[in-house]
Amino acid sequence: MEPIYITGAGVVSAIGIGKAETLASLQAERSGIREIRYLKSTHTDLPVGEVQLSNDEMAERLGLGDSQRYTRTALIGKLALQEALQEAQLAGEALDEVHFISGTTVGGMDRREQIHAQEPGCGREIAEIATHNCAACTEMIAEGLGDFASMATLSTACSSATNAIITGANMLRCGLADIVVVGGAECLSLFHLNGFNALMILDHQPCRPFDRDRAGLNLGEGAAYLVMETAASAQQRGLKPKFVLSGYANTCDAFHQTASSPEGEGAYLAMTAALKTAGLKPEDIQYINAHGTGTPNNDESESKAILRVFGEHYPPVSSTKSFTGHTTSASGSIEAVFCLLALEHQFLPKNINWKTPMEEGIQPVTEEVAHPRIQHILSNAFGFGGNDSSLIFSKVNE
Amino acid sequence: MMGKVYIQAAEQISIQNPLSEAWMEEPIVYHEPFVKAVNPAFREYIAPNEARRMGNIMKRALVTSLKVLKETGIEHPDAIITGTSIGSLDYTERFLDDLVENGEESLSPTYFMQTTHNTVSSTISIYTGTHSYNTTYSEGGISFELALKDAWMQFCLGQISNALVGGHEEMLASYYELLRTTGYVGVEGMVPCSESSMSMMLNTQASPENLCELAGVSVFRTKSVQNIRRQLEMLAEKANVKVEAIQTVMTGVNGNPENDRLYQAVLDEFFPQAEHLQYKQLFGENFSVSALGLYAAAHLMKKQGTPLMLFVNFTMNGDCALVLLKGI
Amino acid sequence: MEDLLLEVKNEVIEALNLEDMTPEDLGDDDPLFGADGLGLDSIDALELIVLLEKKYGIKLQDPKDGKKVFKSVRVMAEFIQANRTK
Repeated sequence: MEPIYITGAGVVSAIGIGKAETLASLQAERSGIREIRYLKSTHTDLPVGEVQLSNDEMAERLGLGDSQRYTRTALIGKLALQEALQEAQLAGEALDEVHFISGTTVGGMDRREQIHAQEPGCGREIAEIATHNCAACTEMIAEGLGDFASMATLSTACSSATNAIITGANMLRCGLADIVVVGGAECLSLFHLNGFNALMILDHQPCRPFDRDRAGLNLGEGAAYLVMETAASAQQRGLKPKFVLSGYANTCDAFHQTASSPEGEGAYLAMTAALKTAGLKPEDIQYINAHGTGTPNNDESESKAILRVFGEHYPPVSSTKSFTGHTTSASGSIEAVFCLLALEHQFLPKNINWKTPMEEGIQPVTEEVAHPRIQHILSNAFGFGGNDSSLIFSKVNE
Repeated sequence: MMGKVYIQAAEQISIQNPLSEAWMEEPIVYHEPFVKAVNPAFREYIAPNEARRMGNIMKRALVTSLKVLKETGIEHPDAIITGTSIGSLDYTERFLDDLVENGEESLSPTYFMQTTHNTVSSTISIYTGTHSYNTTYSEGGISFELALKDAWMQFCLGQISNALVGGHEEMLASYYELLRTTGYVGVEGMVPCSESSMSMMLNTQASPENLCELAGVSVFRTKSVQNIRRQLEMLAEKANVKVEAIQTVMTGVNGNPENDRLYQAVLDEFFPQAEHLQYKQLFGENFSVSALGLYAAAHLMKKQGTPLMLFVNFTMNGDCALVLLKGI
Repeated sequence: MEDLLLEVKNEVIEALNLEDMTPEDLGDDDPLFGADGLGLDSIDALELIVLLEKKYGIKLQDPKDGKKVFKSVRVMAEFIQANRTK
């Protein structure tokens, strides 16, 4: 597979605004999971990973007037997008030929649920908020930052951002684009907080991925975008990229809408196929950033799949959802940026809040361990509906 | 070098007679501003125990897909790719209504489960036990074309030899009211707001049974008429045709002046002598009705032996999709 | 109890959208879940938990308790009679 270079990245989550803050939190093992602060929910006992800025504060940082105009998803998305574009040195007219692909599921629901009661017989303003769909959210994120050549929104629940990265990669390889900006954004909403609660998969404690006594996930919010480009484009722009997307795969578990198959079939297929496209063997991977939501079902299923692919001598694995919570549609790209940070700074993000090993399951990285040079990282994202995807990121060697 | 891709089969459920091409000879004509789709007898295709947890959009997507799979004899397509702008609207509204009216307790997990837009696509995979590539695009009026383009890219990369691609949308009276207030539908003189579902099989295998050849897909921000021309020329060049050779153009004209303006400008400037076809007078207007347009285009090409057709979709918020079809 | 049994049957059929079933089709002691059951799954169990809460004011904290409570219509009805707050 021809190299797909990553030349810019931006990330916003409960553990930081931007890569520098995020790196500091990861290395200091500082969790972003806290009591609900910004979302006005009655479920005050549910720990969440909120971005530690109000909508007004984000709007101010972005130099936008009235924060009311924007869904929180878009505000978070804009912060991440800005950072990515800046690093990739893309601005103004340079974006006219760049393609933007973003994953979201919640979109503008955070605003809609606030005004829903006013909808019957409403005027245009309320109607527009009410009908603000996923596409409109992507447009809102891009607005003011770039007049992109095309925009696309993916919506595959928790693997949305990962699949956005895959679509972008395919566009580059087909010659339909020289530069793509890919990722996802999602804010917390009463809608999905209560939805997950109705499925009874939320933990009332900070989540414990891969722990025998884990009881569920914590929801989080955030956004992250990667700028990816062809070798020719990077060279033409005089850039020296540090990372490549060296493999990827999208498969379907085809088992159930909200549960993973016991043997982790979709996960197994996704990881196997990603390795194949990268031309790598399991022993070439130095770290796995797991989907690891902390639910009894996912972690059991994913653990089985990892053992099926990698055997007993699996590489270090961790779930950084123990830091950020489950950022749903944005998780694939947020965790992709964590992988890039790990490659750049040569460290293994820990699986915090872990105490007891699962029966016959994998044991994640919880302490400082000696590790070989990190060259290739595998990142998983498994969504509702069995939409399972895996990505492999590699360091560019000087 | 990319091989040819064909539209092998296509099925629909819409405001016309479902799962049939009766609309070609005897279209149903509507005068209401909002029309719901005509459902087939779902229980002929889906076991009641499975169907009980599916809203209309899921049942329609599944049935059109199952019919296409049966016709083509393909059990597990290499890719299942779907476009839907508002997904399982019915269940989304029910969950939201319940949340807002009754508070944050005792909410239905079944409703919530359907509200992620990818449940439509994944239902097909789950029902057929298909583990291959599965993804969903939700980009307003070009959701379907993005799904089509995704398949196109994978054919281009030699990753697949067939793909089940669909565009699906359901509608409610309450949501129609909101869309009417925003000026998207319900405008005097325009086609009705509708619901529709369409699934098609794309295949690299040539066969006289195929409907037509899919010769290219292009999706972009409209920006200007010059940009449309530029994209059109690139599309035509890749497909080895001259823009001047395009004598048949199908567009999404729907009677809403806001919508029709750009179509008219492009037809007048680039295709004044070509045959202009339309489909929304048959299938109405919704975010994924362009899927029905492409379905109609493919069937018309087969029936009439049309050598070359350009399919144009403009959305009112600045996107364009162009699809080039060749007769076989 | 007879009235409650019938009521529970109607509620279960509605909550789980068992379109083709009538209360007559549902035996008091028929297993609801498992191999001999109606083909119900974990989501159905959650819906029954919602039903208990909404209609009868009983809150089941642990979804795993559902296995015992939803064994059959009779077991459900007895549990409801003993614990209902509505």
